[in-house]
Amino acid sequence: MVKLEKEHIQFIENYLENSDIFYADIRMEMTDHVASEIEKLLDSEHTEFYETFKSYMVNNKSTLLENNKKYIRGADKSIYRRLWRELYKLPTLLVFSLFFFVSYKWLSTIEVENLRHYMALFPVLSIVPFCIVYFFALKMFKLPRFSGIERLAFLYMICFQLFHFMCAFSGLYIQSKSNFYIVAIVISIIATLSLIIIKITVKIINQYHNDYKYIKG
Amino acid sequence: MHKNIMYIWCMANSKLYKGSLVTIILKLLNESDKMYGYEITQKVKELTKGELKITEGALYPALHKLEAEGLLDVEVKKVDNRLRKYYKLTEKGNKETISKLQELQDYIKTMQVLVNPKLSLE
Repeated sequence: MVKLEKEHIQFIENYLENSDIFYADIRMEMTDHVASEIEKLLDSEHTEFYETFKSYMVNNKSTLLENNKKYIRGADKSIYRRLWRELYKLPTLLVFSLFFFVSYKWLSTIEVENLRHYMALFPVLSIVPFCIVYFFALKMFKLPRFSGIERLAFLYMICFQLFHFMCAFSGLYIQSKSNFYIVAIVISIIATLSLIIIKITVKIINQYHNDYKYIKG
Repeated sequence: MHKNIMYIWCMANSKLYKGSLVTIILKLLNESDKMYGYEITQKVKELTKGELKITEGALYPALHKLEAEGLLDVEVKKVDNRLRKYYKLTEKGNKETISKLQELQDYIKTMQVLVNPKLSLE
């Protein structure tokens, strides 16, 4: 059985990277698949690497690029599935209730006018922990871009916009202290969702650590 | 059982096999310690004598989904100058394989009753 040289593997990897397959985890699996296919072709056709590679890509490049999109969609779906599952857990309800109780108590101690100033800060405060976790995730890996981690940024941005909208919307209801329960609900949703997303981020980081533990060092 | 699975696999180029992809993957992983993506496609091709070809576009997203659900464990190793991602069943995956195979067997029995009632009575 023909085995490809290191420079051939690097050539395949560079080619895929230059073809916009920029997530390292997806590219790694695709490189192995393409290399295995080419090894099989070299075995049966007894041709030279570059010639075989060229004809393979002529026939399969569009499929590979389409597959890349499928893998990214798969990574997105996996993140949303995790989020959905977390939302339905009993601890989530307990955390939400706790945040509601604490924020309602806190709101009863402040004035209506002051609350309007605080409300503008909630979305920003909610995004800061995400950014810290995200930054450390990338720093800790010191490896190229990973689909599972990078696609989380998209979720962060959706949540940021959602929180912003919720705060602006609930701001309309702040006329008197009797409506403060609406603000308490908004704060609880933002805090609970933020915690869930941080939990998902940590889980994904751990999963990558676990998957790649055999090639460290 | 093996014959039944072969029956489903042979519906090559058909959308019918799509729903059985996860069962096929689980069954193959159940029969070996660990496998990588390309190996799975080749094994299916070999077992079905080329009748059924699993595309990468269907296989890898299915593997990633099973991994996210905790049915598969992953090991990335350096093999033949490149990194290779191996998949193996977790304990939860083993249980799911049994249930999926049973589900498939029941489905085949039901289909047999509908498609070929005479054969199903024998």
